[in-house]
Order: sequence, then structure tokens, then C-alpha cells
Amino acid sequence: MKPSPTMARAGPLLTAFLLAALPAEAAAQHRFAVFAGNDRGGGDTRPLRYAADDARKMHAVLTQLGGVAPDDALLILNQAAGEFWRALSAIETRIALARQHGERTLLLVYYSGHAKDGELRLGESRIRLDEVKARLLAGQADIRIGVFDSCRAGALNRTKGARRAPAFAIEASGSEEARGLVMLSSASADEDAQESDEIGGSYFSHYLVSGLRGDADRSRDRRVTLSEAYAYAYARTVADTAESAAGAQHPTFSYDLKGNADLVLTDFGSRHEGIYVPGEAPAGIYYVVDSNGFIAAEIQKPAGMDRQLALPSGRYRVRRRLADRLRIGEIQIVAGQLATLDETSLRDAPFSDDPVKGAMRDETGVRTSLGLGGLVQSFFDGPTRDGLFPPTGMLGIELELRDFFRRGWTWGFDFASGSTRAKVDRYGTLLPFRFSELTAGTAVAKEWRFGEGRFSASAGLRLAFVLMGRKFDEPTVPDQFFATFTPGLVGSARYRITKHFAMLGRGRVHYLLYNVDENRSLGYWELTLGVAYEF
Amino acid sequence: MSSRWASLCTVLAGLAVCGCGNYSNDDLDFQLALPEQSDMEAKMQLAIMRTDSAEYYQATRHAVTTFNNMVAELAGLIDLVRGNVPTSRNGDERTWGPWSLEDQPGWQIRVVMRRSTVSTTLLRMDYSVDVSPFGADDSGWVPFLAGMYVSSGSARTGQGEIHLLVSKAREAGYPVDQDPGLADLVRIDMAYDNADFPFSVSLYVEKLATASTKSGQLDYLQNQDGSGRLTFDWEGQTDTGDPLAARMVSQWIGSGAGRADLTADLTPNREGVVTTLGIECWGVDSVATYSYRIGNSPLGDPVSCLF
Repeated sequence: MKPSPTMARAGPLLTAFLLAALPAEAAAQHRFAVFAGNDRGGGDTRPLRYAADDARKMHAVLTQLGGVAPDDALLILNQAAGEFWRALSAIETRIALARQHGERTLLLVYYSGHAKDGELRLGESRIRLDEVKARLLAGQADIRIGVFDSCRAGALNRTKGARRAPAFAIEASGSEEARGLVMLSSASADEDAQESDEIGGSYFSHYLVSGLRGDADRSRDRRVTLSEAYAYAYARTVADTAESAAGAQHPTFSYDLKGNADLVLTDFGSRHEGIYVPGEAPAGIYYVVDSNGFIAAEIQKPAGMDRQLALPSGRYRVRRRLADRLRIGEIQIVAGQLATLDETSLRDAPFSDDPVKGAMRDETGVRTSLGLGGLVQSFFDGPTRDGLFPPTGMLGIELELRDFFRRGWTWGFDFASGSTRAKVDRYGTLLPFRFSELTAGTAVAKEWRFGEGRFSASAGLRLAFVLMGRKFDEPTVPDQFFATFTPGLVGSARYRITKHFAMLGRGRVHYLLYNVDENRSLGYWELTLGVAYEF
Repeated sequence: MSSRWASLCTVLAGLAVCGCGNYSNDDLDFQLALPEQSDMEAKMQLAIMRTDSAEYYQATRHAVTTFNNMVAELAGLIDLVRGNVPTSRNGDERTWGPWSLEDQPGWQIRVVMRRSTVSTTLLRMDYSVDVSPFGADDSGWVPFLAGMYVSSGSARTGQGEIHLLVSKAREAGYPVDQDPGLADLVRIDMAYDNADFPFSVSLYVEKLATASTKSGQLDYLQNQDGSGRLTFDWEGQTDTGDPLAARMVSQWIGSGAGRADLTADLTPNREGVVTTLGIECWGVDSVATYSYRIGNSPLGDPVSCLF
């Protein structure tokens, strides 16, 4: 098997680790866990889509395969900092009790959500990173693992021994059980943690979960250790984010462990319930999609090697993406049984049949913006501007659906009306008139966001209906009107002032075919300044 | 380009050419060239009418009323197109119609206007109201009314002419004689100039030879202060069948007081010997202050005459 470049770079460290690490019995520890996920990070951040889902998935995999009893795991979704501390305290109390009974203990704290300026953001509340790290350092559990999937969470690992590396090895310093603290973060101290609509989660958590379900089992012992899971998540996260607009995302780790036993996080060998991909199946990435349309896990299958993934019983759809089509099929996992994927049961399908429900997730994330502003319109052609369609000021209102079709795209509707006074000179006869205009348009635009969403710029296409009319002071001259559709280009800039309010600037260039006297191709521009309320 | 994009572009292009309306600067030129009744009618203080109003005052009032009625008729024909969107636009030409004529079955009517530039500030318009029997080709259109207008720098002020070509329409078969007002007419020619004071309007009416009055010419002049003059020349026959060429000249000031002189060439061959048949002056109340009739002694004081 030819290793991928990322894995090739990871090779020496990984090999060292695999040789040194001795599998440990996951069941020998009494395991506790706190899972926190929060989609919201306060006024100056944009809501995340999958943070709570990621926490839910981590909770599921560790309670199913990780030896964490459901009673020993607390899941906190979209709750404030106080709830997090209360949950942690409750778990710590149980850990203390377990230790009193002579049990070895492990505490895993997982957080997915916003982080900024050295703080975890749980809605409007904050938790200082150094505070949570200090709490873990001081914890009574024999092994404490912190997993932080959030922007710039690598700040947690700015300590001696912190590494931005594809894998880590635990030193084999003796025969004692491992003890200490391991901190994993999804991104470096200066990076954003990225989410993906296609996989329905953050990259790091998605691959961590997939790895823990079995895909990270490089030793093929049906157990996934912490280092295997990290190496897998690191490689896949870097590879998948390398071409993204935000750039590659590099997970980091730091550890302060003593002992020679690696940490087995999940043991799926004892659980005969999942999906098995035999070695003769085609190589590639298999996505296992649950009944809700979300990717439950993925399998990176090398040629000639089999793969096994632990999944709860249920009906799943399996998707493998080829260059020009999908291979999709269904598989039923019966409780207590391993379902073998039969390649012949898959069929070819166009990309439009993708069972992943990314589009639906986009709809749930639609944000609506209502804007009000002033607008100036003027034609490029001087004679047209002077006597036919004079420059006009208008008041406008607009409704914009952001992330409607898909993330980063907007669909807007606008309406504006205004009037002005002007004169037309016809062979020395000056005719004063009042010009009135009404426009209604719709625009589809691609939006780019900067500065954590505070700034955004967009460009797109617009189709407008314009109704222009004029009433002459001279009573014998009849009123005139002209109505038409005009296609155009639109560019916008938006600056968010507060959580809900934003300043809005918009420029438009339109084509108008004037066809009353003769066919004339005209162009006009519009500038809008206004405020928008987003809800 | 995919078929989906092609379809989208087609729809957008289709919408872009869907413009409709009457929003036109060029149309303004045509609309401003069409004279209104008020632009051409005689404006004399005629409100007062008493049983003892001066006879020539009454005659002048009658002539002005006749004059204005004819102007109204001509303006009414032009009003066919005022305020209506042209049926077709072709460069400097606009056409309204053709429409069928409800009161003349088998006939249709149209209005054609042509624009030409005299200078950068002067515009000339020629227009005609044409009639044609249904089924005839383009050469079948006969001008029933023809007019022209040269602008002078403000709305509907300038010099213009209107010609009602009754004989031409009659020759083409258009049943003009069904209209009692046109039955014995040959043509009416009108010229007006309201570019600057004094405003003037002249109206020439030619009738068939069988009519008792063969022709008449009305010349109207209006000054800025409301004073004016109406000259009415006509040729016809006396009750005894002798030829007659007569002229009445009425003059008035802004208050309505005025004077009228009736003269005629009574020589058998109209040798240019003018005889004054009568003179009458009236005051603001329209009652005669001085009156003279040929063969009679004058009444009143000639000093009371304003002119």
C-alpha cells in the first residue's frame, strides 16, 4: 500500500508509537466524560451549525464503544458556562467516589463550539481556557483527556511539549499504568476550526468519531487508541481542509503522561455490531449515512485491506464517490451482528441522488435580513440622464435570505420608490415634469465573509422590474410611463455593527432596453446605503 | 453553455425586451405641434349681449362665434390623436390608426405626422388626417386635413397652417356631403401665428359655386392688451343676384368697446371702388354710441368712436 503524503510524514512518529505502545484494557478503568456542544458564541460570532451535533456524536461513540457508562457521561448542549462547571463538578464528585473504591479512573472532557481571545464561548458566557486547563491538571482522575474542537483552541497547548504534529508517541518509561493529562485541540492557536456541510460536522470531530468507530484502527487489533484516533483525525483534517478557503487546519496536542500503556479509547472488537468492508471491495472512502441523512461515520478503505466499523443497529445507506458518479446502496445492521458490505449491492447513481442531507441543513441555517435604505439611480448616457430618465433618489426596503440555496449564497428581494423634478428641452421648449419610479427586484449573490462574519462582500445577478413615469406641468401633454425588466449585476458590502444590525452598501449596474422611439441599449447604476436587521 | 443556462439567458433576454409604455421625448414634439382650439380662436369681449346692442357689434360677435366654431371643428379633428400613443413610430414619422369610421361604414381614418428640423431650435411638423376606403392600398389614402407647424420656443407657440381639403375627399368618393356642415364646402385654409404678439389667425373658406356666398376670409389680430381686430371679407351675390364683394372691419379695445366699418365694392365688375355702407361705434356696454348708414343721417356723436 502506498501511503498518502500526510501519512508518510506521520510515519516515523507513528511507527515509534505503534512499536512502543502496549494495548491496555479499556474496561480496567472507570471512565467518566463530559460532552459540551454549543452552536452559539455570543454577539460577535456567527452561529455554528454542527457543534451540538458533534458533541452528541462523541457522546454516542464513547458510550457505545468507549467504555463510558451512560450514567457516567453528561451531555450539555447549548448551555451556558455555569452548566458546564456544574456538570464537571458532578463528574469529579463521582470520580472521587470511584477512587475511594480503589478504581482507576479516566475523565474525558469534550467541547465543541466557539473559542476566541483565550476563552471558550458558550452563548454569551465565557470560560477561560487556562481555567479549564488548570481544572483538568488538578483533577483527581488518573487520566484526564481534554478534547477541544474550536477555533484557536491550540492556545491550550502553548506549553512545553505541545506539538502540532500528525501523531504522538507515549514514552515507554516503565511498566506502570499511564497517568496524566492529554490535551487535543482541533486547530492551532492561530487557526479557525472549520465545519463542513457535506460531512455535517466539524472536520476534526467528524474524523475523530469515524476513527473511534474503527477506521483509525491501524494496528488491526479491533481497538482504537488515543494516538491512533488522533493520527487519523489529524491526517484527514489537514487533507480535507488544505484546499478550503480558510486554509489547512492543523490539530495540536500536548500531553503529560507517565507510564507505558497507550490509552485505548474504543474497543469495537468485543462488539459484533457494525459494518464490515471486505478486503476485495474497491478502495476508496465509504460514507455511512444514517436514517436522518447525516453521515454517521466514514471508512477510508485501502486496496486489499478490510475495514470494520462499529455502528449501532439500524438501516444505513452507504455511499462511495467516484469521479463521475456515486455508488450507493443500503445495509441493515442487526443488533449483535456485523453486516458485510457487498459491492454488488451498490448501484450507480448521479450526484443529485446523494443521500446526504446537506441541502436540508442549509435550509435550517437560513438567516433573514430586512434592510432599509436610500438609493440613487442614474443612467450612464448624458442625454438620457438630462431629459429622459433623470437621476433619482429613492427609498428602498429589501429582504434577504442568506445561506438560502446553500451556504454562502443569498437570495434577495428589494423594492424602492422615489421621484424627482426635471425638465426636458425640446427645440427650445422647456417642459418641466415630475419623474417617478418604482422598482422591484430579486438578486442571487455569492457571499464572502471576513473577520468572523463581521464583514461580508457579495456579488451576483439581479433581475428588476422598473416602472417609470412622468407627469408634465403642461396640462395638455399626457402622462407617460415605461415599464420593463432589466438584468444587472450587483455587488454589496456589509459591516455588522451589533448582533442584529449591519450597515449595508450596495452597487448595481443594469442594462435597460428602451424601445419606445427606437431600440436603444442603455445602462444605469444604483448605489444604496442602508441598515439591515438580521434575525 | 448548458441547456439550463441557455434557457435562463433566453428568459432574461425575453424579459429585457418586454418594455412597454408611451415614455417618449420624440412624442412630445408631435404632441406639442398639435394646436388646441384655444391657440387659434378669436378672443373678443363678447359676453355682453343686449336687445339694444349695436348691430355691427352683434354682427362682429356672430362672425367671431362662427370663426371660433370652425376652429373648434378643425381642432376636434386633430384631437383624434392628442393623448393617444402612436400606433407606429418610424424615425421622424408617427402614425395613429388606421381606425374604422363609425359614422362612415367602409371607410377608415388615420393621422400621420412627420417631423423635420428647421434649425437647432426650430422644428417643423407636417401632419395629415387621411381617409381611405377599406381594402385600398397605401395609395388610396386621401388627405382630408393637412397641417404644418413651426415651433418658436415654447409649448405650442409658433406658426401653423391647417387645410381642410373637402373637395379632394369628395373627389375620392368620401361622402363628405352627408355632413351638412361640409355640404357646400370646397376647402378651408387656416393660418395662425401665436409666436409673439400680435397673435394672428386667418381663415379662408371657399364654397361651391352654387352657394350664395362663394368665399370668405376672416383675419383676426390680437394684441397683448386685449385689443384686437377682425376683418371679414366675403364674395357672393346680393338678393337680386348681383355680385357682391364686401368687407367688415371690426376693432375693439380690451374693455370690449369698439367700432366696425362695413364697405363694399358695388361696381358691376368690382372695379375697386369702395363704398362705405355703414359705420358703428359701441361702448363697453355694447350699445351704439355712433351709427351711420349709407343714405341715412348719422346718429350719435362720432367723437365717441375710439378708432
